[in-house]
Amino acid sequence: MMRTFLFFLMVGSVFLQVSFFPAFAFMRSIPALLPLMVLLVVLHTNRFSTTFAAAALAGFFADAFSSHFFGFWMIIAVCIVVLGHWFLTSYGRLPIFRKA
Amino acid sequence: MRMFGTKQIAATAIFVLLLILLNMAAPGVRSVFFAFTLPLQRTLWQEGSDVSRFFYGVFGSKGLVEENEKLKSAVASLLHDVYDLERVRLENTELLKAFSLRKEQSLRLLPVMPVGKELSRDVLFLDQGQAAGVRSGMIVVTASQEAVGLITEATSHGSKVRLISDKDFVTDVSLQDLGITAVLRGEGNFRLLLDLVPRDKTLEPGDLVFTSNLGNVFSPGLLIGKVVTKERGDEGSFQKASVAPLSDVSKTSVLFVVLTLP
Repeated sequence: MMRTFLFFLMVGSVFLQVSFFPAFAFMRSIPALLPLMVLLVVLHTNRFSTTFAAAALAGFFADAFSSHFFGFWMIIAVCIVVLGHWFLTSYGRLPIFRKA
Repeated sequence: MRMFGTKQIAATAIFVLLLILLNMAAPGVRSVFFAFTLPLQRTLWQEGSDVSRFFYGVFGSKGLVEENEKLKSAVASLLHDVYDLERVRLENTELLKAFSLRKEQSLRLLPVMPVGKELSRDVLFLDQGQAAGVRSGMIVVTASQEAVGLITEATSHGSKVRLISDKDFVTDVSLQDLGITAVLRGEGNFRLLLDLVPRDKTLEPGDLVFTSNLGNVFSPGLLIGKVVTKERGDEGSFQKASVAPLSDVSKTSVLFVVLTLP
């Protein structure tokens, strides 16, 4: 259930970024939602394989809408997961994201 | 924790292999993907435009009164111009008849709807492609025939337009008020920079920037935008200025691809 929700969340964020948020350009710039969502998911859950797969899937969708080579956004998303997971397992978990 | 075991190495190898395969078939994969997701993108773009207009109406109401007054005075001034131009047009038609010259054809335009924007670049996805006659290199304009960008890629179901504001997009432009040609550079995030304007020319906010035919990229005489502010601290023989497009492409729901030029 959690995994499906995460997948939908990540893929949905890519579609929102590509087709919905350009209309909300603030100071002529649109914040990158994908890296932000990946970071939030890493902070929220400690299941490495789930976040890794969700990030890779979101990166794939982002690459499909990109002029960069296939893998550009996948690598960025996966790197955020790996680094975020490493940081949290090495230096502790933020209490605000800990499950009750 | 042991993060990189045999499984992880195998998964990484599969991941890299998948990336190589995807890059080999990138145009095909992107085309199919675009065709499948087009209805969703179209809906989201339309909703985004509507919602942003609603918020602009709510939070921008303070400036709307002032803007309305300015527009009213501009309309009054333009009505005088229209009257004068109509007289000139009639004279021109008579002269063309008298000299048996061919009447200038107008642009043949294809209406297209933007459905998405690339994540890190000023590139828009359009809902019409090769099937509708869109080809790479064609010019894209707004409803008021302001130049927006160039088609860089066209598949059967859709196409991509690289906006003039995309980073490193460079084109020559003309400032008809000053009678000079300069260079317009895209800076990303819908920002434009006018460059190589001779320092002896007085650049004023509001000066209109048009396409030029020096680089043979755009059809000449299409409006691009207006000068907003001069860059401070310029040195050397040239000056720079930031330029704002007259219409906000990110909120528009229809653009036009120029299929044939006059």
